[in-house]
Amino acid sequence: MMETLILTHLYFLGSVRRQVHLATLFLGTILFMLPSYINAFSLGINAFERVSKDFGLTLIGYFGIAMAILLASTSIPRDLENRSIYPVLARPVRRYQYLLAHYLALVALLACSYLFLGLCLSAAVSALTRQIDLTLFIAVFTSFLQACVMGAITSAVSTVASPALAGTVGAFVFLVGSLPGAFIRFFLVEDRDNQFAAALATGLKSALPNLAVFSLKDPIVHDITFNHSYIFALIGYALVWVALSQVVAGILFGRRDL
Amino acid sequence: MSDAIQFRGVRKTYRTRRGEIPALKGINFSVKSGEIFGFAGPNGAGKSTAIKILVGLLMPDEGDCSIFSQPCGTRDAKKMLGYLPEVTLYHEFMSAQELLRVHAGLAGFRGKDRDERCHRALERVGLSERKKSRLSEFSKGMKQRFGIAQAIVGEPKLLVLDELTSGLDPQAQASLLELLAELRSQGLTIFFSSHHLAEIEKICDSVAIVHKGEIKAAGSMNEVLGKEKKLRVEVQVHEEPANLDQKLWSKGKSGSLVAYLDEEAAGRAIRDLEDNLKSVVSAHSQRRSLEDLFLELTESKTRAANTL
Repeated sequence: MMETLILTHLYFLGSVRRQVHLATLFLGTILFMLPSYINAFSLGINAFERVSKDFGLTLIGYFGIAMAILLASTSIPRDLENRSIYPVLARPVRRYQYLLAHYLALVALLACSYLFLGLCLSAAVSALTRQIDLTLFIAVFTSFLQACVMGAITSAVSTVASPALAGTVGAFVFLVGSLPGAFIRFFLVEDRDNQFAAALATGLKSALPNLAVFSLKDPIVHDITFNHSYIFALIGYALVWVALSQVVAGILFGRRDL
Repeated sequence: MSDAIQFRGVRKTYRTRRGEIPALKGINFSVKSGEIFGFAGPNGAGKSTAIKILVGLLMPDEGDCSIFSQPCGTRDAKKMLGYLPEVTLYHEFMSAQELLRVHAGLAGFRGKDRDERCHRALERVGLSERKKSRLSEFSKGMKQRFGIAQAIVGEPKLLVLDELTSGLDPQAQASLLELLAELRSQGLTIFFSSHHLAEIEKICDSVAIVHKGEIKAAGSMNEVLGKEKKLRVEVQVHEEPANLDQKLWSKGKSGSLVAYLDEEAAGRAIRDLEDNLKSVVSAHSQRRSLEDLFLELTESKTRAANTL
């Protein structure tokens, strides 16, 4: 376990010193400024609050996914390319520990970014509404869980694929996984009557994680009540997919010639 | 002396889209504890594959290898191992001390003990004054020195160094070889692969020559090169005779032919060259050099294949 933590620290530090966090700072600044510009449209305080939250949470969601896919698809292939993996794996370190360390470093980086962005958005919204809305952080947290799942899947693919391929697969999984069930029902079945495309989309969607379930943006923005135990269910669902991805990655990477 | 390394019938084939590429064809050799062992061979001979199997980065298809009787790739084997890969871009954003702490931590050392070992390792390679410098500021020679520090920080019994001196200036090469000799005197077994045959001959106790996935010669320097001095004959020829005795003559530098012979046999061999003989470049008594043996074992096969 200690070896995993030492490597997690190393890879987290590596991402920070590669100045990945600068992108987060940039987005944080945008989020901080955003409500001021939205307020300029004289929407009224309620609409202003909703639009700011909606916009901000959407930006945070897409930014987190992009960050997760980008970092997860490149970190292991880069280690292989510059061979910095060799002296590490020649130590008494198991390959799954190496993979887990990379993943935990990614999760730590995502957690810091989401927390920072959530704080920026919350500060900006509450500065104008004069109210602190902590429910924003629930949506930020579930969005973080979604990014963790995407990071785990992309990272697993990157153990046997190039960064470009791993990134593409990651993006594909995200697109299919976030596809609303209504899209398949209305557009492919009822509107176009394309049974084959509908079956294919349904099949793919059942084999991949349902990422749409992580979006709590609408209930938070529109004050729709939801059962808070749903969040625990989401944590469990994310953990299952992360564990599954890590096991698959461990099997693939464990057999790989380096 | 007990065996530090044993390779027994190790076979490895890479499967690519273009087909199968045999990298090792069942190699056998052993390295005794406390010696510096040179591993020589041309590019693509299978040196790096053998080293990767030794340090647990590759699994052999057949056969097995062990480090101090522990199967290669296991945690117990890795605990006794320090490894410096051929070309490594370290985490250059870190300082020498920071990265060394990581490796000492991975080797199982904690707290003050870890810091002391890092300090000692940096001191042994002469980098203690640059411990806070980032690795990106290091020259190639300094990076190799750091690589050795990283390999010895876990206080291993076996040091595996892949092409340690390649690309370094002669001064840096000489100082690294001195360092190896010093480490050997402290009881470390060193497995050392290199293209520089003169340096292998200079510092190694034993050697193996690998070519096209096969071990062509292995043993102590005396066993491989012969104890007695022989007459080294180097001749220039107008044209290589079609019936040239390939076992006797090997290709030297600048197209000459070289043979190690008894005095009587030397006269006969020169006479056999007949009209093709242009001049005798040199004839003096010396032990066969590793370079000559290497060319004999690798070039002659290539030449024979080319003439077919």
